[in-house]
Amino acid sequence: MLSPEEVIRRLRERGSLWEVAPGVSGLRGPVVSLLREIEAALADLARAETSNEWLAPAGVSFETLERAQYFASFPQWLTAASHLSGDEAALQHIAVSASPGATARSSLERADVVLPPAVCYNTYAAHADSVIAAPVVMTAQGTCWRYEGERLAALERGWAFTMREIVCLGAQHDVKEFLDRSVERVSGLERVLGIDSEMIAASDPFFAPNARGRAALQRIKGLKHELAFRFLDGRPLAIASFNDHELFFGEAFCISLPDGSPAWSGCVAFGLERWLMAVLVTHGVEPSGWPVTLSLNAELAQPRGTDK
Amino acid sequence: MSQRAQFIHRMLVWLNEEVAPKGVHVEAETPLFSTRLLDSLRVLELIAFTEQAIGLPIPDSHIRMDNFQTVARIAAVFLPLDDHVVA
Repeated sequence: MLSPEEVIRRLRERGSLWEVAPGVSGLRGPVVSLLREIEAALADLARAETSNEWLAPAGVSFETLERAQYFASFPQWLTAASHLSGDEAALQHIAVSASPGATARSSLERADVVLPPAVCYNTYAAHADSVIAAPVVMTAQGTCWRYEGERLAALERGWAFTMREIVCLGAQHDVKEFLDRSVERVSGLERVLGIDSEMIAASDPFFAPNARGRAALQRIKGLKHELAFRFLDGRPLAIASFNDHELFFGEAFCISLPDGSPAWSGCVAFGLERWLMAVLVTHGVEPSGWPVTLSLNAELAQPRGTDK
Repeated sequence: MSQRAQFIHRMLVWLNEEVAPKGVHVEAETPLFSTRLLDSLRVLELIAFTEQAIGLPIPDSHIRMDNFQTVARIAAVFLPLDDHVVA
């Protein structure tokens, strides 16, 4: 078993990983194939739950995040997309500048869209102000952005990273059953990838001043669990999270059940680069050491003990 | 009155007089989290109330449903009958 620092050092040494900014990294070589196998395995796991796959938008509106009360929850992560003005004189000024990159940077317009901090916000917005007649389960994968300053670390805590999510909207029991099934399915994936992890109670890193109270409620009510991979030194790396939102998004986005009550929601999220890190720490960076079958096989598509 | 009984009495007074909405009465065995009795501010007060009673901070690992389900349960976990604290 390697330390994460050793994994990163070896990948950098062979040119398989490089960063253009803290937490914004690229991969090349065999490790890309490994990531693609993990990606396919997670996609298969999601498809075992639902065939309703979405292509998530590459951005999310400020209005959607406002409705989700994001700015009172995780504003510290916000990253937005900006652009240059279409004004010809301004563009000409940049083009002829001695340092066009620096000039462009200081000429950016106000940001009109946020780079998604999670895939699921757009799915709640898409169901806003509607009645769902039956439970809705959807899945999507996308690049997410969370700025975490000094904590950013390649393949562990990316500013940009890849997230696969499965989201369920429905009655309370629909969401509870969905989360239970997901826990079961993920345990199969760990087996195939040959990594050891454990389910732990967790809470979100809410923004102060109400952070401790919100986190305490999450813990007491058991609303968030994480699948934690442990490094050699015992430090945990959350590779998946299982989240019961109760009525939060149903109320925030006015998503109702046929009886008029707000819908319950829950989601399961996977950080792909973290799964990659867990496999590399466990099996090393040489392809010869990686598990033979990383493609999700039939056994994973079936939760153990059920016939669904 | 034992320390545990005093704690239960004081917490119930606080919950019923300052937290519970009109028409809701909280007893020692009333589930605290199956309704919206406690929001994220009130839960902090609940934890602070308990910490003050036992004279120790409660670590995050102890902030979970099986320790905080009811007032009676909070008292049983954090104020054992012999008045020694198990935290």
